[in-house]
Amino acid sequence: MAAIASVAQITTPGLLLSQAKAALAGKTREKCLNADTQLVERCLSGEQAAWEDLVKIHTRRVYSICFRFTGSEAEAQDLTQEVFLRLFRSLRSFRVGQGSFPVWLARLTRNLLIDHYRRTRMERATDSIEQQLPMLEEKVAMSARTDGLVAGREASELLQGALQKLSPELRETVILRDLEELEYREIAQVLNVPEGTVKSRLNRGRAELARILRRHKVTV
Amino acid sequence: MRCAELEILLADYLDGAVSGAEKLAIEAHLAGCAVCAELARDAAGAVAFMDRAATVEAPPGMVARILADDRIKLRRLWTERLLGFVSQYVGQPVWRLLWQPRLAMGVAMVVLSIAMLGRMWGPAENQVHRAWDRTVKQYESLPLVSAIQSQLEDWTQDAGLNGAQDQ
Repeated sequence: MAAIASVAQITTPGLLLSQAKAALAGKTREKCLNADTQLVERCLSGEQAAWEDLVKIHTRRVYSICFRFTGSEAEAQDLTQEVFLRLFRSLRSFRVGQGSFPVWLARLTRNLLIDHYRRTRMERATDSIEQQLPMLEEKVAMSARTDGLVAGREASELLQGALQKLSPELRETVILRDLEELEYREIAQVLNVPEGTVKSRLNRGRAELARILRRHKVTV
Repeated sequence: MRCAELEILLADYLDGAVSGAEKLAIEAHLAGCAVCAELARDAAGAVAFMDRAATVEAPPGMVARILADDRIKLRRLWTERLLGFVSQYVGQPVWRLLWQPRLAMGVAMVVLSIAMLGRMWGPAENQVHRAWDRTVKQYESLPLVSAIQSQLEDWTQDAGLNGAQDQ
């Protein structure tokens, strides 16, 4: 019973918040869908202003996914630029019937990140142990001086360190769902896996993340 | 409920997107399974932690950097424009193609032009014939032309007479 009580305590306020978030996100998404489609059409007809609007609207999300995935500002900036170059070159292949523009862009971003991950695997194998672990421990040591319940920028930095320790497939699922708030159906489209696999990876990713943070004395 | 089933439903449970019956089944399973209860607690804890973390903003110069990229040129060749235009309509039903205002206007203009040409063709043909006849008449009535013609006729007649005498 103690297990149920503690889970229910954690989830009840979370449930209401998630439902409200989902309802709001659904309405906003519908509006954006039409706006994005129009922008893409205007870009295809050669309108410079439409391209600028498209870049302004989607830069934050693309950068955020890149930064959360790589954990490096410089790498995230280069990859974001590369995503938009790839977007520009393949804009004509976007079809409204095949899903929304943000999902299509997220898939493009994810594919580029996975290519980049594979390309730089050898460099990271030597870097990760020596550089990433002390970085996270240093951040945790700083936050441990306060009450332990971190939030805002500090939590964001700790989360960044912990995310780097997840496997790429768990990391990308957690980023797309919990940080970029995509629907399960959309994540399944981006990752090209069934929805059940998305949910299963999400649970494992979240649980692993909590264990990593707790191991470093962060209150979760 | 088995642990594998719970693993699929847990994400929806944490989102508050399960039915009443499913919620009861999940909570009953969590009460009896320490492994799943720990998974649920950890997952819920991570979600709560991520909710507290600040969102990532792109650096201030990021948009400008993308827009200044030399490799991105929006001006395209006319062949690319044509391909882009055609590719928009390929695979779409004909009625949708004709429904496009620009295309419907174009078709209407072509039909109108052909109709106007048809109406104008008859009178125009008569005018051309009359003009040709007038020109021929004027040409033949020129003094120089009539002089040359009469001289030619004389030579032809002389040649005919000479030929008859030789025989």
